Amino acid sequence: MRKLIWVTLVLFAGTAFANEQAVQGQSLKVKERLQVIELINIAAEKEQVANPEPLDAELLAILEEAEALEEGQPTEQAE
Amino acid sequence: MIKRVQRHSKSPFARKSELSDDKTMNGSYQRCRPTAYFIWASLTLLLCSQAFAEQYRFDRPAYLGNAELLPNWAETLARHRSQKLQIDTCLVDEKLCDSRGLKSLRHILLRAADLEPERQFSLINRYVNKRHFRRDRAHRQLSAISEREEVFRSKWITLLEFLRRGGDCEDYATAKYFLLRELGFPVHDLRVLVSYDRKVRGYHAVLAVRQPDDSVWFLESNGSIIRGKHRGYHYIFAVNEESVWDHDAEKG
Repeated sequence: MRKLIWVTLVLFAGTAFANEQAVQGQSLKVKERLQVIELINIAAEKEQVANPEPLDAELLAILEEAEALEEGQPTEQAE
Repeated sequence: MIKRVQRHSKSPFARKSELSDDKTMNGSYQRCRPTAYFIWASLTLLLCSQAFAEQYRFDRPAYLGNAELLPNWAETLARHRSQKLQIDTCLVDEKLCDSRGLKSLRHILLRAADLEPERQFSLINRYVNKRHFRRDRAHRQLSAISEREEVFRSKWITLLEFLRRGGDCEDYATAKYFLLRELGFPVHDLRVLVSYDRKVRGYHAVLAVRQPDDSVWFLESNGSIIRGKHRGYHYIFAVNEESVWDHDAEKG
């Protein structure tokens, strides 16, 4: 039991002293990680699935009306 | 009976010849073996499924810092904020919409406001995915982080820029993000998640949406909505208006 307590105390002490160096190391690590993230080229293209998320009639109607507005066609829906 | 089994066999898969001829023991051996195989097979399947279906969770300890840390993304957020006035003005009065794209956007937002969340996801996902896919040309810029070298960076664009000319997967995800924010979804439930997609062998972006039960849905650019069962992704990083999360560093 005494050994266990001593081991625990030693471990906690090590953690406490390590904290200061860990903070400095952490900011360098953040910068390194940001540099890696910055270089990622997000370019994957996924093929459309054969059965996309099905939409009900109301949602399809909303999309059709939006498309008509974009093409400059008059719609029945009054806003 | 149990002790005799242990003395004569090292595992449940022990050969029949290692055991005694006792009929009772053979009977119990016969009953144990299929059960043991079943348990082994179940555990193997469970481990394999976990390996290939790593669920994304919003509570992963991967916070890297403020969204401003990523210059490319921060610039996009700033441009979106400056363009938001056009969207807000258009929402108030259709006559103030200065483009057909804005009129279409206005229609979608006003109609979507009356829908339940799940139908909002479906509508927004389809509305954005219908847009023209246009691959970014990674452009060469001075690294805003190292400030020394030139690097090739993907260009993130705003909602209005996307509606005008289309984009690629991160633009689809970003557009969905801004649209759901316009519909009132909280910022802490939305992330643009970049991962390495093993199926297409490339970096891919989706919009991740946290649900009330803490499951996460992916609004994909291929027309699907993945509800809580994410397969084939190696998560790299995620962003929203407030923060950046680094998932690749979680693995040490």
